[in-house]
Amino acid sequence: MAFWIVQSLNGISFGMLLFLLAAGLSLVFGLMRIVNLTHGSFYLLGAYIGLTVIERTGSFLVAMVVAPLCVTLLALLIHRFLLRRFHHMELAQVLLTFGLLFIFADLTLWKWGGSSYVLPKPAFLATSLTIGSIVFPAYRLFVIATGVVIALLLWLVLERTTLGSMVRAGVDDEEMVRGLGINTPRLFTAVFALGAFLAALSGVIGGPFVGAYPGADFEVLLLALVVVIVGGLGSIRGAFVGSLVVGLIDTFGRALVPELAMFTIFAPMAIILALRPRGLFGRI
Amino acid sequence: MVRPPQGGAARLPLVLDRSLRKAYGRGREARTFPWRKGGPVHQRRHFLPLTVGVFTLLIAVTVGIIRAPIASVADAKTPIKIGVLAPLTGPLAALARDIVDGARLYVDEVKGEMAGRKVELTVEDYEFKTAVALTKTKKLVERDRVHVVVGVILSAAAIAMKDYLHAQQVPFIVSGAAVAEPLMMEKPSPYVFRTTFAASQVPTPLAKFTYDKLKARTATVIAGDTVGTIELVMGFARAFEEAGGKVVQEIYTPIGTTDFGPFIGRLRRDVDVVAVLVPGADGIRFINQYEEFGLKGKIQVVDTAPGITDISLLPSSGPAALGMYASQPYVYTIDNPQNRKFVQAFHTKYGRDPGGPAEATYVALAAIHQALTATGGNIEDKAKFLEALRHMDLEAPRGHIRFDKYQNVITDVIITRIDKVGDQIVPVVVETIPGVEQFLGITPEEYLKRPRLVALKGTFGK
Repeated sequence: MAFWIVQSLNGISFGMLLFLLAAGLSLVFGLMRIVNLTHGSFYLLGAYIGLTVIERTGSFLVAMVVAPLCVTLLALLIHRFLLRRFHHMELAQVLLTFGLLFIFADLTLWKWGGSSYVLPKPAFLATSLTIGSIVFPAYRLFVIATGVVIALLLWLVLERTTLGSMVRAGVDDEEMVRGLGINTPRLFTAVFALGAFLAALSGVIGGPFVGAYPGADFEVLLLALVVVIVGGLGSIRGAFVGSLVVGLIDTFGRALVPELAMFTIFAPMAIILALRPRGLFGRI
Repeated sequence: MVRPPQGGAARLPLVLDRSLRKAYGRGREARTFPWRKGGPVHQRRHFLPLTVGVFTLLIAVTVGIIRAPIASVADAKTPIKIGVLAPLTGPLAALARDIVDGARLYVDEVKGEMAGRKVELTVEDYEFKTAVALTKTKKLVERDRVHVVVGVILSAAAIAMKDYLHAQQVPFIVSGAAVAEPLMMEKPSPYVFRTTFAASQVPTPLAKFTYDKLKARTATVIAGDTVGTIELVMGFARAFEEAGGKVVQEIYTPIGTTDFGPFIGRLRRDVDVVAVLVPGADGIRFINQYEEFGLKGKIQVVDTAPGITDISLLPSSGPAALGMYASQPYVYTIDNPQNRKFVQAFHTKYGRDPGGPAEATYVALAAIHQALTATGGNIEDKAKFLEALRHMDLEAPRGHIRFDKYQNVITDVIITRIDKVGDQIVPVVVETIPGVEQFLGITPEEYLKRPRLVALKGTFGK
């Protein structure tokens, strides 16, 4: 019994991390119709900047704020000066973000070197909770809590505010939204920045157990793409459910049949693509 | 079949044009490809010289590649070139830095000169990938014309390089990879040497120690899922069962695993000891998560070779690794004059303490130096150089070392415990087992009659 409870919590905490990663990617795709491959770089930059901030200030919470803000600023610049020039040229935009992914990979290698880092956990979360025979790291519960809070906030913003309704309308029909007099380029910039913020935040939060190392950007991007495909593009609910599905399947797959580690991630993706090509909650 | 280059040059535009026309359709042909009928004449003239030029270049490159392996006979004035291959990016970057720094320190100490000839190091990063390692080795041999290759941690890469370097007749001194039978025992190559250890060599004394001194009777082994690390825990498992213990569970984690939760969840809680070899960044994550799940201090962990406990990783794995035992041929806390001198020089130059790969690479360069001195600096006479290298007899930082008949080092094995001394986390020497060799005291023929280490995977805990 303890095995199933611990592994379920493992799966949920991994899933929440995936959600933070995939939510931004899904929104950006839904609204702007581009697969933002630089998303992986935003994760890695968030983790590295978070590491530097923790080393300087000694505070994990400061890193959780500062690193995502730095990356958001970078994303704003990228969108304003690079991506906007290629408005509605989807292929060119994807190639551009792909190029940026490589450029940032080399820049981070240059700045932080080839070593792997594990971000230090905040002291108050460096313990584990014991309930009966179940021992579970406090930090993972913190990851679950953060994921749920962010999901709720995103849901509130998207479903209950004017900005949210503009984004939802934009996902359904961008031309019509523009016709109504809404400044869609500005909307695009805001969503792009939000996506970068979430990716960098997942970099800091994932840092203590995933770590920051060269190549993490590509690995994380792959996972996020799987989640987005399973959950469906452009939908926060899809990203949330997709993350949980992938997180749980991956965790139980590794625990029960470790030889099939890669298979357990990609098999559900293939099955869902075959049965529901739009993903579980896809809008487009 | 090889087509004569002239014919190829004449045909190329047609082939190109046909495929382009397919892609762009007939309609735009006249505008897009003016060298076809009707296009401006000057454009057509430009195209043929270009094709011929490209082909000339291709032929030049081909000839260069064919010619490259033919070793040049150099006079004594040309420098000795040593290729250093290390996984400078990826999960083992910290160990790789040690390889490069160990080599550089030795070259600095001899002021860039061995037996009257200059020494040049060429460092290449193989990114912890076998295919990249092979490409970079070819580059080192065929373009840089190195005389010797040292380094390499990934066992699969070392095995692949062995065949290539043997064919190219380039001496190869392994200062990392631990794989036992395929590298040094079966079909041994006269060109391959090793200054670190075999997978049979280092875990065996630790297994006896774990049974006799730590009184462990049941064990789980956990390893990264790659040939070198599997062999190391299998070396432990075999020796532990021979000592009287029982290995009840095997767990393998893919290299690059970030979340060890699922594996730690599967771990049997009733064993006396967990023997691990999870290298580099994976190891740091493993031991931290092992602590998070509340297992630290409940089940003893031993490192079958310096994976988690290597000094280059201790800054990251430090507090979580406290109390672990590990076995290795070298640790910087050995107390002897050569080592004190070595550690001090390393510390002055790099501001940190040397790990196992640093010493092993430093020793590899010292062995090259010794062989060069014996042959008067004539590295071009390969037979003589190899013979001299085989007779290596060094007072290394770790103590006295030489090669066995199969060119693997005979070395002391040191068992350490990770302890807190003052406010520093330090590997403390607990026991030294002198003169351990890779065949563990039986003849090579007898040893090779036993199952291969890698074939033991999956046979325990049934």
